[in-house]
Amino acid sequence: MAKLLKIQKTSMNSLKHAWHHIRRSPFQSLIACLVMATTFFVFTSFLIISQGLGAVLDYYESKPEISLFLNDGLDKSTVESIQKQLMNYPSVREVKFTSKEKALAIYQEQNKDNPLLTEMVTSSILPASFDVSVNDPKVLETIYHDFTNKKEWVSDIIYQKDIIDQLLNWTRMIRTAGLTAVALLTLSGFGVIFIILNMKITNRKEEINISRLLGASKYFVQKPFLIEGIIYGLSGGIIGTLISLGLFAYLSSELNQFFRPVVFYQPTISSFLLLLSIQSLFGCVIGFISSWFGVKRFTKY
Amino acid sequence: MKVVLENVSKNFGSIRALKNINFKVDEGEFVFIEGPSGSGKSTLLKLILHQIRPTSGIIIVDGVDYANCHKSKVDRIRKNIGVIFQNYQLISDKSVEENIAINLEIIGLSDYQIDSRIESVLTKVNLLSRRHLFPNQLSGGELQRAALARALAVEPKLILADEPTGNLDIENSWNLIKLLKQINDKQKTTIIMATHNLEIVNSLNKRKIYLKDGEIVKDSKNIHE
Repeated sequence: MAKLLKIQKTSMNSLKHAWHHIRRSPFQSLIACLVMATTFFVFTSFLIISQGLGAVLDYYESKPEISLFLNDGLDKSTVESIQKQLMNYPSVREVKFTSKEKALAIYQEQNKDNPLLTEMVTSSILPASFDVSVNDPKVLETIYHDFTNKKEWVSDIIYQKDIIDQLLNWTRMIRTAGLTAVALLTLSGFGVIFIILNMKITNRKEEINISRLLGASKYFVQKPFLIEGIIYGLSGGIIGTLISLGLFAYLSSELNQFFRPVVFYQPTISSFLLLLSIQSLFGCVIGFISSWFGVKRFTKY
Repeated sequence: MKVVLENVSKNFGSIRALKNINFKVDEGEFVFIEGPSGSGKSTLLKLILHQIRPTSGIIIVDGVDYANCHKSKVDRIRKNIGVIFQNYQLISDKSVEENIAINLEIIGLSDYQIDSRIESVLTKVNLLSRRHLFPNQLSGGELQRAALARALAVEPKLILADEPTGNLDIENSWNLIKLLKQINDKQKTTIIMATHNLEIVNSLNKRKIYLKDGEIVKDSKNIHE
């Protein structure tokens, strides 16, 4: 118990000294916090955007990704043969047949508010179709090429290749750019804390020397600087994450409207707290590691 | 606290600052290290504090041989040494009481103990009214007394004082010496004081070690023995 109290007491003293260091060079401290806040703002934003794009991709990947419209007058065995051929492609998830009658029913349901449109259309106008969804988007291209040549069966093919490709490119690009930005900013945050603490340690070389001569252990001398690094990481983590979460919460309705029917970002208390805790912890870790490197290097007196 | 030096030499490059120093200071002893400037007095105190390492020889403080001990033991020994540095060595951006508090935090006292120690020690050196001032706001004499207060605050077993009267007027010099003598008499604190103030040295009937060109040329203990 006494040992515990002593640890608590020395920690409070170190916190006091760390706060003293921060107050004595407020601009350096502010820069360290700002760099960390920027890092965490980008990091949190990247996480949210990445998750949102993932949801959009999932949505498109779960939808029929290729539709084959059949010529009129095909007999039942030909239709079944086409269905069988489609089913035989690898990674096909579902092959859904829509008859001319069903197509008309769908059309009428979609346009029930406009009787003029429904009255003029009969099932003979609408073609029967197959909607094919797959797990591997590459298969779609094979299906597209194979059935483009079968003009006797297929009148038209609607293939969402462009949408998927574009989405995949965007996702890949955003993920790469986001990861690069996060890596660079983490590195620069690390470097800034490292350099600022080195400067502070150099400025306080006299104090460190005196404290060592008075019997302070290396740990006693290092602790306030380590705490200072943790304070920068933690405050940067909290500020950056809060700004990012606040911004996305504010924009969520516009984003969800834009990506409808996909829910791009849904702010909830639990996800808010989880992300804030993780980022704060991560901030502490970055702050601790960078200050530890700085302190180790410069407290060899 | 007992201090033993056996065949201690210290070179700074080609300069031999100390040559073959041998002496023993017993617990509760008051010893003056005297000698002209550059005779090696400060170097000797720095060696005892383990601020610098000897080129050769053995230094044993409180039964611990510096050459063969873990760094943490040196820290432990230093916590029991009150040092009055020649150039005060007060931390410039901390007030007098913060300078003293650091020393007390190092030895692990509680906030309450730190406050009461600061008050008592500043009263002792007559500096209580200056407790919130920073070193650059103090006179030479006040700086010296602040350094003394810091050294005394930890209630050390050994006091190393390097020219503590160097910047004091006669009255303050005598007050400081009286205080050190009082501590030595009452608390049996070992005191090793480097000085070239012969008036002070001769006024007290204490052991004197005279250094010249890095060598002990006279040790009053040996003469008496």
